[in-house]
Amino acid sequence: MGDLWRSVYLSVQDAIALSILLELPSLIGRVILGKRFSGFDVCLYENKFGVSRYACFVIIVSDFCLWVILAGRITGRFWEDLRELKMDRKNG
Amino acid sequence: MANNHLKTVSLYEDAKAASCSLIHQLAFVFVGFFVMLLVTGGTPSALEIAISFCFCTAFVAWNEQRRIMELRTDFTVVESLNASVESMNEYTIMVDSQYNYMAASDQISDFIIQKGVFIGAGVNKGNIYVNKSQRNSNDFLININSSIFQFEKSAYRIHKIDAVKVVKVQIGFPLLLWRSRLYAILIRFCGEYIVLYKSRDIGKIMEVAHEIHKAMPTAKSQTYNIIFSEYENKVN
Repeated sequence: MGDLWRSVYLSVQDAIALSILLELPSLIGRVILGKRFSGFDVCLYENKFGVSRYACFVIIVSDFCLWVILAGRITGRFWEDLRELKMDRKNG
Repeated sequence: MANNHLKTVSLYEDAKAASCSLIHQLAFVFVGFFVMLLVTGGTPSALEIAISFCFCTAFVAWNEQRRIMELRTDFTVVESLNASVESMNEYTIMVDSQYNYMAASDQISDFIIQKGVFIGAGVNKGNIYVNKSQRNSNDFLININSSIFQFEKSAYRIHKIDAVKVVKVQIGFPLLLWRSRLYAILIRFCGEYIVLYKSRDIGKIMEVAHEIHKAMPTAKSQTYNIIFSEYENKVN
């Protein structure tokens, strides 16, 4: 298996792991609380002392985390490959 | 010539390390977002969200790049007893000249002596001498001629240097965030290991090690031969 396939494989693995970890809260929110949250501003309309408000924050942060980590890891891999390419060229 | 100091990592090892680091990065980013929410009182503006998004992505990318680089780089692990070589509070200047430093003798105050433990083949338990003239700056002066190797303000007789090693410095609790991010070059001079140069840039470390290795004379005894071949397996 070549290096490119390895990168693709690892990115898919990341995506699967992240969706299991981070999509669970929104699934729970949808099933148990029966609500869909779409942004931080929505959370503030919830009852101050209710569970929904905090659940909302967790769900929105989870959604953010999914994209932040996925984007970050793919960028990091790309960065390292570029660096290695540059070093190879430098060493002849 | 390709990067031969890179080791081949199996897909299983790679995948296992990737999932471990995923949890680590996830925890950092989650905490980061909650701190942002606390600071903004639960009502972050679009700009604040955008900034934290970019910052967190950059952090994850940097962290991932370092991790992959570390995973693929082949080095020996060094661990000093009392946290890092840098975070020691008490420095004792070496005054004992029993090792006969020759050309370095007038630069004797350029060494810091510390007790530590090296983990890794060919390196002993004992004192670590840190070259004090180079303190984590990225620019340094190297001068190599036929008999003297000069690094910043310290000079070493080349024929007294019999080994050079690239190692990873493990840092203790106060600097836990930067754990396993520091690399060092060790040279063996008159039978003692000296930490010559520390940096987070493994590329630069390898470059300097190459230069020293090129300047070194051929091995003089069997013991030195072993260390040479270890080094050669890694770098050449």
